[in-house]
Amino acid sequence: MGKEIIFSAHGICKAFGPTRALIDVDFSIYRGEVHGLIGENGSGKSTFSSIAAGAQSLDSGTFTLKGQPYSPKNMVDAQNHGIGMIVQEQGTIGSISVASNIFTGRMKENSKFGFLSMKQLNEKAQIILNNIGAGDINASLLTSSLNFEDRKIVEIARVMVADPDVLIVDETTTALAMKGRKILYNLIEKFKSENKAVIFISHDLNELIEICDRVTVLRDGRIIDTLEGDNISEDNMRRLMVGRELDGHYFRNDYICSYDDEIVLEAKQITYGPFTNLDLQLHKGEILGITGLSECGMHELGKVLFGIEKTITGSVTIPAKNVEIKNPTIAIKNRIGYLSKDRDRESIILNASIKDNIELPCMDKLKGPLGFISTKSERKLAREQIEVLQIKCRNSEQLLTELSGGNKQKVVFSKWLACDSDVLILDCATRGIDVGVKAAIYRLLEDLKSKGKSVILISEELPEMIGMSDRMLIMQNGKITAEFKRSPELKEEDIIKYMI
Amino acid sequence: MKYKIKEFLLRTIKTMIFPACILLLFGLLTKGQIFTGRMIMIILRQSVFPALIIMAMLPNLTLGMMDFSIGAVVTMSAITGGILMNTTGWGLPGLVLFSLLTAVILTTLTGLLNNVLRVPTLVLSLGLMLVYEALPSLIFRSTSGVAIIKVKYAALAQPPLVFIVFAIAFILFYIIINKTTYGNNIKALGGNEELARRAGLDVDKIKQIGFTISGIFAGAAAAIYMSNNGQVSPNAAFGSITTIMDAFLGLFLGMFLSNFCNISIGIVIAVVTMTAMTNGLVALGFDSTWRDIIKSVVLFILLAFSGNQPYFVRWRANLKRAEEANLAAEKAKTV
Ligand SMILES: Nc1ncnc2c1ncn2[C@@H]1O[C@H](COP(=O)(O)OP(=O)(O)OP(=O)(O)O)[C@@H](O)[C@H]1O
Ligand SMILES: [Mg+2]
Repeated sequence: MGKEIIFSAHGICKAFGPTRALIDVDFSIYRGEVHGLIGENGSGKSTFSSIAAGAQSLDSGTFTLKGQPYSPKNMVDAQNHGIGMIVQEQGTIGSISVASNIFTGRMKENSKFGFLSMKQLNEKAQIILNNIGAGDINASLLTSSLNFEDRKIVEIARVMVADPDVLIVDETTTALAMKGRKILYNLIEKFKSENKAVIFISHDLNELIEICDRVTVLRDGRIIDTLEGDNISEDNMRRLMVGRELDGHYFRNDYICSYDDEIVLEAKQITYGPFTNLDLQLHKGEILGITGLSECGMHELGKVLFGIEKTITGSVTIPAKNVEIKNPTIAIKNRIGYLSKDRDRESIILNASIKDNIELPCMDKLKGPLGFISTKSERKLAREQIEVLQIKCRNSEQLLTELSGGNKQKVVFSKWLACDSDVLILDCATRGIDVGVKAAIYRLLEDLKSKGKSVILISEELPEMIGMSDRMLIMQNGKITAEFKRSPELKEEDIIKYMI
Repeated sequence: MKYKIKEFLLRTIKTMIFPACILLLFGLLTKGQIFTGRMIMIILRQSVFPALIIMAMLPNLTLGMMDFSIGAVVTMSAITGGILMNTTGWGLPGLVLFSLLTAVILTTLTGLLNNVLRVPTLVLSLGLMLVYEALPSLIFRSTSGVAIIKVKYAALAQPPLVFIVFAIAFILFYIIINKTTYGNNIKALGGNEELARRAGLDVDKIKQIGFTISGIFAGAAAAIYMSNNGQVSPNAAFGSITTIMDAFLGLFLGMFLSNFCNISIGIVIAVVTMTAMTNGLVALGFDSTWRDIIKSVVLFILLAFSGNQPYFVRWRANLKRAEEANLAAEKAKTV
């Protein structure tokens, strides 16, 4: 066929202390190819790609890029050689402008004798943003003034500065809303047509089937197999990732909309950000899905329900207890848990251990009779959670910075499970989590439901919404445009109509 | 264009409102004493020293490092500069040269130790402060400090020389912070060290340069300090902190003002405001302890007030929004 290999890795090994993240990894990608890289959380995908992109060093092994030996010193060096990566974690610096972010590490090329013209830099950055279809982002703005998704788009722009031959996309789509995804898919299409290459990491199997030419599976740091053509199927990918047949169902297998009449959380005439005078009721034992486009107000709604943001009119209450949720402290006291979409900034403490993160909202539970925290129960609590969600770590003392993206997400989840929340508000709960653990989380949600707990799922992932919710609210521009009850007939198309 | 002018005016007002209030207040309290031509000159002259100290501290602060040893560096450099000027007989150029050299050597050393030892800069600089404070006695065996003999050497701390020194330093500072790749790199690094490192910035080198640059401004401050005081004695037991106390207060105000204007301009306005306040308090007969207390309190009230201003603005916006929402709800009910 005469396909030309553009980039390849030979015998890559990498260990973090006792953790062997990569073992003898061989990998290659052709020109004009979109190559998927999949594996369970902590299987080594980010480690491999960040080494290829110069963000980390390797222990042993070699790379070949465009026929030449390649060993990047840092990310900018890698970009100059032709490999650019969009990272899984938050990768922009908030305290400097968008343009400065796009050109960090490249100031030299844009200056004369060390002197810099901000105006020129802004103009150059704006051109790059315009080119990728994100002209609505102003390059001279302070990056911290952008929302989570736009910051991700700035990262895409930064990668495009050096016009890479190989683009690595690490678990980015779940962080992006429709607008950002479109930008990313267009970019991938462009790379393909220009005979360049894309390494694409994702946990969304449908997305992988849609855009990948080949898919390579990693498990525990080893390459297991590479799938091609019709072999790229959900079943095959799942089986290879997990290492055994997955049995049982994925989403809920009942189609019954069921919950008690008791209202456990009620919003009356609340106003904040995009929405005005909004009413909402959550029932005991209900899984309530809220969906829409990212700007529709559903993320803000989650924050108001948990009391992080104050409603301007009306109130959020727990009718049975006659309590008004005015702030997160009251919410937590009344056993409400909230998982934010912006994980790294709002949901976890990166420089603290797994144990410390998990026990944060449930200190009360850990208190002994004298009001002191018992180390024994602390450990037990963390150990239980690590087991339930299969958090991949050395032990409960490991810092969150050292965990893989999906495993961080599991920690956030387990923190609210650990404190027996009665109501869980989950904003993009399964972001970056692998299919095996996703299934486990769905079982947990079913379990919670059967115990009479209530869950609000906020997400753009329609299959998950349809698959799990008893009732679904569709939002558009701050208004609830439709409500659906659980039923086997419900299709994505029915919902999308009310979103756009 | 019109919009730009409007925005510029708005920013200027926001920048100037607090300094103007303070100046006005003290102007009234002292019955205009601090606004005589002579007083204005004195205030401006006295502002140069703290302004230079802030310029010395700001690059490191942007990088997330607080260098407390800078006061001791200033004292040591002033004493060294004075002694070497006297022995070489090189006059004011000698004072400036030797002060600068000493300060640059000391802060460069601080930077080196900071990179090698990797203890928190706060801890390191407190330790080094004690060491640097002891240096004059160790090296020159003088505990009484040094006096410069000739009156004409006081000229460096007087107009026009003092303003020329300031102008040079300010232009240098402004360019470094705003117009160079280095200035941009320290902002990136200060924002997120790990990301900056990954992007290929040489973190250690950038920090090292930050310390060395801070030596230039500290050296200039030292020369002016010596020239102004005529006699400088070594400090001990963290005594050098008092040397930079005024600069500290100015620094906070300047950082706040930088929300509305360029930080370089912000620190100048801040320092002049603080110095005017000091002089006003002197004119009102407060001793130095009370002056420091009052200055700190005023500053905190100011920062607390202004820090809460966004909440106030939002509170008012929310009121309006609530009104609209209630109106809409009424309407919905009647339909
Ligand atoms: N800095 C680090 N220190 C210690 N261990 C680390 C570090 N970085 C990664 N690891 C470990 O290496 C393994 C591989 O992690 P990696 O981030 O590559 O996983 P991943 O495949 O990207 O997972 P995910 O799907 O969750 O993003 C994990 O067990 C992780 O805990
Ligand atoms: Mg990862």
